[in-house]
Amino acid sequence: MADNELLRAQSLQKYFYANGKKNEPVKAVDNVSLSIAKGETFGLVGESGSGKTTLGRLLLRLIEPQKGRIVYNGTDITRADMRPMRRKMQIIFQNPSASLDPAMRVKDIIAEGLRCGGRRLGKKETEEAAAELLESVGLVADDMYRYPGEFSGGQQQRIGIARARAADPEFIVCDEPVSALDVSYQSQIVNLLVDLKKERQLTYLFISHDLSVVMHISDRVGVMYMGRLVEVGNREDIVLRTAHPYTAALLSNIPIPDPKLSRARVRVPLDVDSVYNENTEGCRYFSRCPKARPECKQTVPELKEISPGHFCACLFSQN
Amino acid sequence: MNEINKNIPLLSVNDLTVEFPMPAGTLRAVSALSYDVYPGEVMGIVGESGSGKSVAASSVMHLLQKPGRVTEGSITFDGRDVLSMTKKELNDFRGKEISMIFQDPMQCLDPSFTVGSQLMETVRAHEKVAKAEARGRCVDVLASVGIKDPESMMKKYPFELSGGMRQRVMIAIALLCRPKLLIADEPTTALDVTIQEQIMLLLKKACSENEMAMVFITHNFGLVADICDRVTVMYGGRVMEQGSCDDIFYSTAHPYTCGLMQAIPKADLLSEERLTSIEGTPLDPMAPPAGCPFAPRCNKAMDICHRECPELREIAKGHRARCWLCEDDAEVSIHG
Repeated sequence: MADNELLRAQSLQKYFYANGKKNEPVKAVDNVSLSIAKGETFGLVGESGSGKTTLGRLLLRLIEPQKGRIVYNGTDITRADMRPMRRKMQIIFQNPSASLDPAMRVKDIIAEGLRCGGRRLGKKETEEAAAELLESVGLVADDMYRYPGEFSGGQQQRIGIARARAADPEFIVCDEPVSALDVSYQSQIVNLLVDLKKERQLTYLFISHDLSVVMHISDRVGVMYMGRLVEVGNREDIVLRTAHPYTAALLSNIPIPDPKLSRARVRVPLDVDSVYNENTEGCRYFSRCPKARPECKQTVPELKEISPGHFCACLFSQN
Repeated sequence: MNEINKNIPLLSVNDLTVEFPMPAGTLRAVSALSYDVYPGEVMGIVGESGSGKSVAASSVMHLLQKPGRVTEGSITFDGRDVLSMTKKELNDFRGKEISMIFQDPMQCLDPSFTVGSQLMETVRAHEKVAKAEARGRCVDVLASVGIKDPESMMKKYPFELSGGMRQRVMIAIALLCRPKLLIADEPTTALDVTIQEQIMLLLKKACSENEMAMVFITHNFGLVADICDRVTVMYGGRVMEQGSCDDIFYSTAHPYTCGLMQAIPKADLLSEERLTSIEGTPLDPMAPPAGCPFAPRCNKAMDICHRECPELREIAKGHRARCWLCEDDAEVSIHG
């Protein structure tokens, strides 16, 4: 992994103090390390509150980590000035209507991206570049004179992608880019992201709670639970050689669009009622885990390599 | 309770048309929608935003937002005409005979009252029961939707609960009076996969235990496969295809249904196949196309599709589709 590594995070930590420092903090990201290779799509799944969005933003330093190190392309950017880095690292947000300024024309939204990429362009050149970007995401050049509110959700997400692309980045964090869209537009956006990646040799961190979409688009997948990575591996490892009980439960609960298979399936129940206690020393999945043993309550499971490239944080991982 | 006759529809929607008069013209949200729901059956209504599925459901409850109004058609529930009910009759009817749950439970629960008082209000609005008895019923219902400590739940406010818990409370309220029909409008869209599965199990259990029928509105075919007996696929306010769950999945007739199915990742998670997407953009409801509403996005569209909207035609027993390709004389139509 080391030779073509693009981004590495080491022991990242971010706690949020909800009611002053007296209370227990919310451990949004707790000692997370990961490595993303050049040109790969790393999928990040987990339920809401598992810290996947926080992790995505930490990597771009849109929020600052309390502990840990972020290394991008060999340089430590944990304390560095992010301004020159922004053009290389971009983000696409979940809710396109909230992430595009309603008072700016599409042209100006994209021009900001172009400026961020360090390109100084005149009025005419900006319009040419904007036209080209819009066409690359399946819109037409004349759309640049319109406002975001005039577009549908799927089209707005295309504008968001064009804006992110304008800086000509190498790495894009896609934070639930299709979750807010209707099924028939989800696949349009997924395909667009796949095509752009091929064309520009991009690297993605693809965050979603929809396991089927993540599995479709990713080369490697990380599963997050309560601020910690519990399993990391390539698609085949995760699906065929599932090691962590939480991953197994997630996989067995994906709705299958086929009535016969759906009826025949055995699901691992996930007890959502059991309240997780933040103070628990041991494994955070303990209270919901069907395989929990007393030891799990005491020891924090480390993320261990159980086969080459396949990591799992469980004391009794199945492999 | 009366004997349930499984052959007589519990809910029957006939040629329902809903319009919204707007400053710029009339918006037709639903046109000529018909479907029946039999006792104990789950009818899925599938479609994207703007397809009219939610409007169609709220008119069944007589809950249309102004200025929307039903301009044509009828809704019959258990032999009674819903559209001609008086306000008082409606108050009795809603919540007791039909209940509804929504996508966002936070918007439906009153933030300034406890869960308990909202449950109690529902029981006492419909039945003359003593306070203590009503309270007991509420606690039982909360327990039946999988809430572990119903007594303390009664004292909580909605903001203290997680999304999944709020949806459970909503379902508890909906089930309090043992309705014959539950309308579930995208009940799990705002929830995580793991919690979604819990809610689905709960709905299935409620249907089988109370012999309750359900109208299940969704855009997720995975959930349709999981729970529905029959399915209605809508686009642009019209029914595109209607049939049993197996008809829809295994003998798909309409290009739109087909497109929706191909647009989702396969059951085989490791499939390398590229997703097939339905190109194009959503329909502008103020300026619907002259012909079939789906024609501008359809990859099989012919000349006639842009000129004339096909009828909803029965292509096999209980399986209907609205597409020129399903017409017997399709050849003639193309050339003629």
